[in-house]
Amino acid sequence: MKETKHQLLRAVLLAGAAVLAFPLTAAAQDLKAAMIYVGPVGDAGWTYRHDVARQCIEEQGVETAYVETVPETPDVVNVQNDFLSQGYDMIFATAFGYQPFTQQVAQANPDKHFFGITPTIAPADNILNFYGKLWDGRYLTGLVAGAMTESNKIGFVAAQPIPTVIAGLNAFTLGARAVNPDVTVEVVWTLSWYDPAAEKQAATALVEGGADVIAQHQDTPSAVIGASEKGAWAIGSESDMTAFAPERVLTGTVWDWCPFYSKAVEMVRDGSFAPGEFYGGLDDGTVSLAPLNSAVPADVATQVKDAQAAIIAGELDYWAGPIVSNEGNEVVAAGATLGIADINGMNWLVEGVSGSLPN
Amino acid sequence: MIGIPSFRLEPRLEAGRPSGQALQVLSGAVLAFVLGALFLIVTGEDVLVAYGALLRGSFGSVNALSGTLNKAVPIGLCALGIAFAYRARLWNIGAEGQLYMGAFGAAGVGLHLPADTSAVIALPLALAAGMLAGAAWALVAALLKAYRGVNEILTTLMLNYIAILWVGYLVNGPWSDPLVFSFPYSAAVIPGAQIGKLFFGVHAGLVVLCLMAVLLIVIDRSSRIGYELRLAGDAPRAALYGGINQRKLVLIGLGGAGLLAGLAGAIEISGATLRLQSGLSPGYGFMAILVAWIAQGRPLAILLASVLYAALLNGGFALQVSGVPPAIGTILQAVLLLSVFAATTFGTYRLRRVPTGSLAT
Repeated sequence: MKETKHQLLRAVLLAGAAVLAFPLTAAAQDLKAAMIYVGPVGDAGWTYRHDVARQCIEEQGVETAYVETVPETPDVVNVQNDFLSQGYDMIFATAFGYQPFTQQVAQANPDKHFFGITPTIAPADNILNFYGKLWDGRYLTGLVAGAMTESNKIGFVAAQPIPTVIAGLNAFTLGARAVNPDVTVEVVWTLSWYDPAAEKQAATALVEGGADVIAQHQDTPSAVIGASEKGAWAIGSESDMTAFAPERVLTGTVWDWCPFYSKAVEMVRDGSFAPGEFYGGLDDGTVSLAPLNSAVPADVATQVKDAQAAIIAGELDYWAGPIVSNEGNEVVAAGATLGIADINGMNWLVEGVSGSLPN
Repeated sequence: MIGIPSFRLEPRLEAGRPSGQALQVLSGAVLAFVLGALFLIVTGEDVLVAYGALLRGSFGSVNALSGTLNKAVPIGLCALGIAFAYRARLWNIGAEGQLYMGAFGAAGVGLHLPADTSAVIALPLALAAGMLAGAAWALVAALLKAYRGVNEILTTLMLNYIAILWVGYLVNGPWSDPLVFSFPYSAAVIPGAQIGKLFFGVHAGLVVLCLMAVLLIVIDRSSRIGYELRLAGDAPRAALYGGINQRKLVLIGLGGAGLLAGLAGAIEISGATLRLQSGLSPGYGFMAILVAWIAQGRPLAILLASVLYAALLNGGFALQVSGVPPAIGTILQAVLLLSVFAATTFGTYRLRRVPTGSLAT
């Protein structure tokens, strides 16, 4: 009986010691990060990629929570205020249209940290907006497409004519024509981020028009599926779409927000946070390529690898002039190049693109 | 056939007293929360956490309360309009589109007046433009109804999509702000066209909502048109024999509904989003149909119901913040809403057991 009492006491003491020790080991866990999503986490595209990043920082000891399908209206203010009332320190507001509302809350809570999507239209001292240099990845996929096409006609299924899509299309075309100057890239605008039927139909129509490689900037793999069913090569976007047509997917660009989310957590933890804009890219893994199809010849694979290394090292700048638009205007003069601000205002299509910007 | 007992809903003959009706709504609310709690227990969620979050997100702080009151404004205004038209049994399913047209009208003024226009001029102009645009949109359906007998439920419903696409066209094209990099937003409206804050985060749209509710009471009680609308609704044959101009009533009923929904859109522009954008309304015009029905068309009850509906919406976000999965939160909202809806329905109807075989109608 006495023995048991002793054991009990020991257990209690041990438990007490564990409780006392816990705050020390948990010191790194006291950060709370909240995510606000514009769509459902099940969209397999934009929102899904952000939720993967949320799980990534949760594994690093950050407590996280999210609210999905929040419209780009004052609801954003309500949701952010509620998060703040629950002790959250960092808010990731992952849609461009949240900015004006995030600004209101950020200005009222100067000791909290906010992260939005660039380009910045509503800045504050505690807002850091982020995005990735997607166009660098598109350039690399363009190299693959240009090497693989036999008809010298490549199709591109594009969502909305906004600068990031336009820049990606132009970079892709520059890449394709760098390895194969005879290539033309025919673009079809679906004018929707989520319209699987239209995306697939656009891909099919492009193949019927003679294209034998179909690339895309859409949230769903529908164009990939449409291209593969017609026997064309496909290039994915947003996430690794290989699984949807393993034989026909050459590669694709893949978003990974984990590097930025981790960096943001680190900045808040060590006090190095600075407002402004952050663009991830090939260097930190924000933008990467899906694995190359085994049908891609080894020399092309090497060329892609070398180009990637050169872009990261700053040795390859495909935006360097002279660049001529497909209307024949010189858009980048010889000796000049483009910065982020120019890319964010891009409203021309490069020579080699067959098609125009919808009004 | 073996005699299985059948039931039938039939209207209550005696009009309930206000106290009795309040009791019904209250019992509906209690039922709603009991059913909601059962649902939460079944799905393994913590009832106290969930209800705590619902309350916190809707009324739990100054910020939450402001958000709820602001959100009640568009819902309440659309609901008042729907109730107004329903006085004459006109179904306005088009409040959403009228709201968008109102936003278009207000933004048109707010974007194109000189930037230093005084609020004394700009704000009334913006609100008036919104009301006119909303009313004009509703009149399309009203004219078709009055002169061609086209069912207004279908026309008002279909006109919604045109209005939403029209605004989408504007913000993607002619009114797109060059400074927002081709995203679907207009520039912000001029400061003079922005409605001020009343207190904390609550904007002055709340005052407009209350004024409009009072106006509807006055129209109901002491105006000829209020009398004619209700007569045409409650006793259409009597109205016909009485020489009431039916066409005029259709135009006024639906036009008034569109005017109020347009006002809601104008206030969203001048008080909430401050710019024209796609996705302006998460469906306020449709929620308002439910609110008008639950409140049985009574103006003061509409005020209350729209605040509670807004509370339910904002509380829903807080549910997610507290870790309740989005799907569970949405179902909980629906359970609460359906229970209140059922309770108010039993306020006007009662179940009567009828012998089998007599159901033939």
